Amino acid sequence: VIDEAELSELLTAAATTFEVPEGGEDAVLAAATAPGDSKRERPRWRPRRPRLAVGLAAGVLVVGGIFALGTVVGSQQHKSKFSPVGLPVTGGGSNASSDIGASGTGGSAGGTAGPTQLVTPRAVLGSQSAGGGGAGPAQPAPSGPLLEAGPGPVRAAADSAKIVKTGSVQIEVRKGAVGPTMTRLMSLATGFGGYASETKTTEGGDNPVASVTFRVPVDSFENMVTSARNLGTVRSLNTKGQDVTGQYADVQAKVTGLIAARDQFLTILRKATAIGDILAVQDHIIQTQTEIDQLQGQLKVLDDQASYAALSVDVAQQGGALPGPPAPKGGLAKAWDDARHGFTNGVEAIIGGSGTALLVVLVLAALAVVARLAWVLVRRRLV
Amino acid sequence: LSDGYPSAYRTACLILRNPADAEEAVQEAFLRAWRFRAAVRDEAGVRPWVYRVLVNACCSKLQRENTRRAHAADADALEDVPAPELSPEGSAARTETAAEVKAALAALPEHLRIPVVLRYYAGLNEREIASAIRRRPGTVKSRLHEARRRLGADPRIARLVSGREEMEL
Repeated sequence: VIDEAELSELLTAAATTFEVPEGGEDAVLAAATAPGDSKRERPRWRPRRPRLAVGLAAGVLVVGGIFALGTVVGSQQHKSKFSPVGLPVTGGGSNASSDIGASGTGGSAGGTAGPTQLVTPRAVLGSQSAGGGGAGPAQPAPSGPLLEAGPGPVRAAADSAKIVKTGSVQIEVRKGAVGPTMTRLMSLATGFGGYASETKTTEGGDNPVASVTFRVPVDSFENMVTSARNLGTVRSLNTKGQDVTGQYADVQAKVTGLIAARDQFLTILRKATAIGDILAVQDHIIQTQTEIDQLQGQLKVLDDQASYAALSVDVAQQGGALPGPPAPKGGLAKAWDDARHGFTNGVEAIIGGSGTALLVVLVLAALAVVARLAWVLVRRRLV
Repeated sequence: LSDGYPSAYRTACLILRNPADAEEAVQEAFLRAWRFRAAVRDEAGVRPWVYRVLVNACCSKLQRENTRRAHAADADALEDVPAPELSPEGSAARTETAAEVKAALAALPEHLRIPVVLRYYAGLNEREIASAIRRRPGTVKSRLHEARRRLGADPRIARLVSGREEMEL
């Protein structure tokens, strides 16, 4: 191996035989200070392998687009399954609308309980309103002009339609606000023309709760639901609408028939002379009148239910147990339930957010790769 | 520029073995360095960066030249370079020495010749050479060793070294 110093001397000796061209530096300076070269230029990125760069970019765009599309579609489906307050609508919302829209179980005056679907404008409005309770801000009560704008038969059907609306809301309020919330609910119900049909309040302990069932005019039902929802954090919301028009018509037809029968019995009674006949006809009249009274009672109940919707509102403090069928568990059972629900919620949250997280990770990774590639290429192009 | 131009030019000459190509390469390298001077912020990194630009320019020239010219023609071109301001004997001896060294360098493959020139003529350290040729310092070290081994085994270089030793004695 040749000595470094000797090699250096030899190379220097060889290099000095090269005469540096005169004016070479001036030529460089002249070229550097030319108008087009005087300004500082940033390196322009020119991929050394343009096909590879274009392929990579296209791949990143395709993958990103697919995941973005999937995330958007997934989020839309996710939203459609949950209420605006982030709570699943169990038994309400769309279920209620389907109940209302397809619950026409009877004819009108004929009394035949056929499976024909009676979708009246009012039913549609009811379904929209009931659905709106679960899928968006509650719509205002069905307005008259829309009903009045319909054609004659449809309008008549809408007027004669009997829709029974029921619902239940469980809301959480801040500590110490159970009483004021109930007072507010009472005044709201009164303002809507309704009343409280049943109340149950437990205050003074660690877990003050209140339950009240309001009866409000059916046209104000959605407004009442919206108002109740706005008073606190909704823990659950169920609304249901049922078309009882057919049932009402059946009962009404039975009453009409029984009244006709009673009138005939009365005519016979007037003409009867024998004691036995009189007693027998009287028994029929009493029996028929009893049935008429019962059926008329049912009609009144249906009228009342169709006129006044029932809304059950449960109010509790945040973190407190709401009144309801499942009694609050304690101790190990409650801890186990909490752990199970926490695990389930966590898994759901992870799965729900995995799409977005995966997209973010992919985009970041792609950006990192592109940045790294660009930096390498820029550095190569620099020199 | 005034400090670095002669050294850069001669380095390019040693690598390219053609003065015209070397001048073009140096000019191109300095122009590119001037245009993209904004990319270099560290003052200490300017020199290896300029040499890196120069090496790239030289490599581009070599690639073009390899397809166009024969190596012998390049060597002949170097033979015509006159030695500066020496006595006829000294000039002849120096020209002879330079020719031997150039021939020995020309026998080296490109990947060994460039590190040797950068290290033992331009005076770059191993790290700076690594940056200039975009290789690891360990690679530079092994290439330098291999180049020195080959040059030491070259009879022309051996003759020059033994002649120097005899003169010193």
